[in-house]
Amino acid sequence: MRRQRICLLTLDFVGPIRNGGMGTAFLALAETLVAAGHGVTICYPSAYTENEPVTRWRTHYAARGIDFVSLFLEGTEAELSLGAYHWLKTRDFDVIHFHEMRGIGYWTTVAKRCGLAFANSTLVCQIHSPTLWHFAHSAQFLTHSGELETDWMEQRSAEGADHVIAPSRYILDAVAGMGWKLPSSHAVMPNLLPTSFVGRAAPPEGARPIEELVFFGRLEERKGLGLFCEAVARLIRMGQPPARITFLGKVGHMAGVHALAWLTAMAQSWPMPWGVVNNLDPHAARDYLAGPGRLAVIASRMENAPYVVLECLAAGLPFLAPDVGGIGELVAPGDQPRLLYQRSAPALAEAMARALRQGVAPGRAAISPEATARLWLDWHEALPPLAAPPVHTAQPLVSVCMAAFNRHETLAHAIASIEAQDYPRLELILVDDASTDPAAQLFHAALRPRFAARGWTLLRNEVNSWQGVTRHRAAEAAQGEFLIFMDDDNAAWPDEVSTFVAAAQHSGADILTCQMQAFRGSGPPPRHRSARPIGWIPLGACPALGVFRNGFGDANMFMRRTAWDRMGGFTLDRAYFEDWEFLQAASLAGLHLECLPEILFCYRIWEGAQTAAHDPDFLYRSYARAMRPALAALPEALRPALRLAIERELAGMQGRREAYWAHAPHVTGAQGDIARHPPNGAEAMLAAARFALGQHQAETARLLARQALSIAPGHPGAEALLARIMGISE
Amino acid sequence: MTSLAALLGRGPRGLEAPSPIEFASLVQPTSPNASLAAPASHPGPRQFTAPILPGTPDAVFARLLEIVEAFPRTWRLAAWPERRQAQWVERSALANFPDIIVAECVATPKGTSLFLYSRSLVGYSDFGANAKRLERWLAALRGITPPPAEESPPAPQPSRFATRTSEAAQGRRVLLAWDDPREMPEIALRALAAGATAIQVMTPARPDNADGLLLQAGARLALTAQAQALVEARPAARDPLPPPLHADPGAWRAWWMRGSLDAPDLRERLPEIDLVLDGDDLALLDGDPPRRLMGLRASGARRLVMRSSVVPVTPELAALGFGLWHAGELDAGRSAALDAALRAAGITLPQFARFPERLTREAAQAAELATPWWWFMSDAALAALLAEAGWSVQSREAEGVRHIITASA
Repeated sequence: MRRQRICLLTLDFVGPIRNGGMGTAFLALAETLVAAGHGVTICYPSAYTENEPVTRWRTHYAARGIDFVSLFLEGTEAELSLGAYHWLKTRDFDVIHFHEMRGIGYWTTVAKRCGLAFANSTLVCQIHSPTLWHFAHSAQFLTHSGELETDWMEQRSAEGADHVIAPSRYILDAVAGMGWKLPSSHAVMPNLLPTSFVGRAAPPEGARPIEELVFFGRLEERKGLGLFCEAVARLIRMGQPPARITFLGKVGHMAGVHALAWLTAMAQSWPMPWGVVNNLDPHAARDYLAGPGRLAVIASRMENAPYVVLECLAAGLPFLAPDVGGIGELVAPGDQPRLLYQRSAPALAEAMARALRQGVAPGRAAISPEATARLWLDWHEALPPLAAPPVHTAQPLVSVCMAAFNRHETLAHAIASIEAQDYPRLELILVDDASTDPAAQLFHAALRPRFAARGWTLLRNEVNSWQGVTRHRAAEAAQGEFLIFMDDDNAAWPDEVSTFVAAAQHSGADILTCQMQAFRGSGPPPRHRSARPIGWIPLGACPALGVFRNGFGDANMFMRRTAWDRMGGFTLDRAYFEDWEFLQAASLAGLHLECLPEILFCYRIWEGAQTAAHDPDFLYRSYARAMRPALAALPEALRPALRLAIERELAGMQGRREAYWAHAPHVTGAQGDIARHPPNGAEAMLAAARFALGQHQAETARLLARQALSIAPGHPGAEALLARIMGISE
Repeated sequence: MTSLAALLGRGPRGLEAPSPIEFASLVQPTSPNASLAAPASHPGPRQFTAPILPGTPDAVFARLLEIVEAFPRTWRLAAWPERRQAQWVERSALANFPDIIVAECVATPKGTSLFLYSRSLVGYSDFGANAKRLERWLAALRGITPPPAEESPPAPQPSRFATRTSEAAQGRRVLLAWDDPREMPEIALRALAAGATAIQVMTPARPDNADGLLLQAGARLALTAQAQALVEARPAARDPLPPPLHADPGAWRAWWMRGSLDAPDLRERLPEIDLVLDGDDLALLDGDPPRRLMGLRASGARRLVMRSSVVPVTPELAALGFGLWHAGELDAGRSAALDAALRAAGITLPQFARFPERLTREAAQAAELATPWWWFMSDAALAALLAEAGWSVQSREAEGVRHIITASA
């Protein structure tokens, strides 16, 4: 056997997470690989734990030969995935397994596709529970654009892996039906059982008498709690109540309330006792089910390859399960008729009644745990060697296109950052957009010999034309095979251009964006590259997310000249979001766009720079611009519906003061005093008069107070204020 | 806010946001865990009658604020000068139990008096602690007017940690990155006095009176000049908001800034640092020690001085494979072995008696257990944790089971 260094990248692992199915699958895989002599590292990026701190599990797993590493990250899926990539790229694993859930392997696949890392690592995505599949089978509506982001990362992490494996044929078919384009190497690999579980499994026996029904699964609708309770009610009406009912699983929610509260109401007329056991790990749960007279009842709406069934089969525990999803693939065909039921309350009630009358014999697994383990080990052994990555020696000319207007101090930093690039073949096209500041004009004049010495180009617009026109002018003057757009107040890290070029050559991408390091103020750019981006993390070519927000990247983008020409460059509106619009249009046009998981430049944020966002018209036009490509891609008859979806999202952001609306001025104390009165009443006028007086605007105060009196003749407050103003005037 | 949060918090942390009390309508709890002093003219029930004090209500209120600042383990939570009311929390020395004290100075027909109300947040009975506190405070208030002493009391002796950090600080730019608003100003001033070229205090939350705490520490330590110079040069009070992103790389702004060791751009938020100090005890950390040590490393400092309690490894512990254990993974055997080892070192942890097996956060909350040891580590385990985070131990000095460690990156 060839010993491999294998990393399991997971957000679900037995220990910090108490009893997740994916965590069990990853633990079982780790144990199986270690037992076979492979080196196994668990990369658990999160700091999240459902019990003791994550560090507690390191010693636990070290004693079992498993290296458990936490990165202690917190944040969104994109942040966790990014942090995982940055850790993984510093290691040297032969194989990296990750699950699709929450897109934890997304950036790792992007990096491999773009040649940034993992040339010697085989990436394996395991599909267990895609978010949109989960939503669809939980009767759960999408509520936030972040769910589109997660869906995108999940899909692309599977599509970008070298191999995809899943515990059931059902789930592979399901994601294919959702439009996922899986790599050619994809296969069904049944879930493994933790080795300790296999060792303790009891052999199957004959039919066992049943007197206690055990609902086995999280107490929630998706797991069929409602169906089970309805079937129990039928049993009672049939005169066949069990001696006792137990709910074995974590307490979730039902119909918008706590499932325990829901259950208490539902079961108030039951003649038999019932209880809840919600603190057992899988082993303890199995031990509970092994008690005499107990029957595990699974009632899920939909399942991929649930461990509850696998464990019952392996432990020789009697059970009933619905014939949905991938459950049938787990059970030996000969046992399916008596253990599986067509999912409905009458069918479940009938199956439970039969079990209470006749007892139930345990079932047999479709494939034994030992055979499953052999399958996994053989699969790893048979992994083909990775092809050597192509070597690109060409160094195409790159044109840095920069528009500048006044602010020559920051321009100096921007130019210096281009001069410091480690890529040898580049030119800078700087277009001065008719700067009005004499200092800036002097600075541009002083640049001429410096530019001439490098063969760079310095242009000046006759009149101020805004960024769209100015960037077009720069692109027209550019000679390079690749263009990179850069603002005059940003700064490139020295490897920006070389990284973009290498990624474009490796991936064949038409357009590349990247992560950025935001910083504030007018001073020099940061000295140290941030470990991770702060705030916005663009993802790449996700048009669905791009309908609602820019998930593509910043205007500081890199592209093939051909891509610029094909798209016709940026539109020329005087509004925000030229980058968002361009990248969405390019994405919908089928251009290959990638967003790199590296911070390649520093993005300057000016205090108060987003004041234009306070202008509703400007902001409306900006968002309308960003919407254009998506609207254009739809039949005209459907466009109003898309507008409604987008604008409802925007209105929500506006109401929550998010995005650009976060920069809108807050109502101050004095404004609040005025605004709390009806706008056309005397009180508002009087409050405004008082404020004006406080600002020493006596005449304004007098006019406003007189208007208050006009609205409400004899108003004592207005008369008193007027008298006071007159006293001051005199 | 849970009582656990109140119990586990330090100083004012973990408590609900205070709001002013209406003494005219105050209803005391039926449980014996509160005590009230009120002016003689107050019609409601009270345990003490507050004295008439010289001066206007405003003047008495101002002096009250001043003298309470010197009370041990007492932190001001809020003040409403317009109603001459303020609230403090005093925590018990051993168990960290928080008691809330509210004072309001009022004008009465016979002169200035006050309401003084003390109540416990934890426990049914206070066993007379609040009444005793009122007696102490009222006694202090009666002595409000004596002339100041001719000579200041001698400066307190530095702790061993303060001594070691001061030694290490000479000629270095120092970051203080734990969370003890009482101790940090003192350590900062001692470091400056010892020759630190600059200091920066960073905590997740900054007390409103950061400058005041520094000046008080300066007065206690006879380092008033250093304190005043620092407050004048880099006042915390004039830096109300932490920049979400770095604004001026390398600049030394407010001497006490808000910040987190987890920030991805930590080095950009901080000025250039040579030495980082961590006065927290890793054994008491309700979190992940590697995360904290990695955060300290991310500050960019090349040198570290920190404290941590370690457990002497007895043969029994060695036989159990002891290295690094969390309180949540103990069993009866491990607990007994740890208890024996720590008792032999002069430490008795109440948690072993109450939780002979594992201790969980929920159990600690239910038992109102203050500052339990969450981590039990050997010398070797601590060194391994440091090494994993990029720190190499240079020296260690034992203060009982508590070690002061100097490490370099």
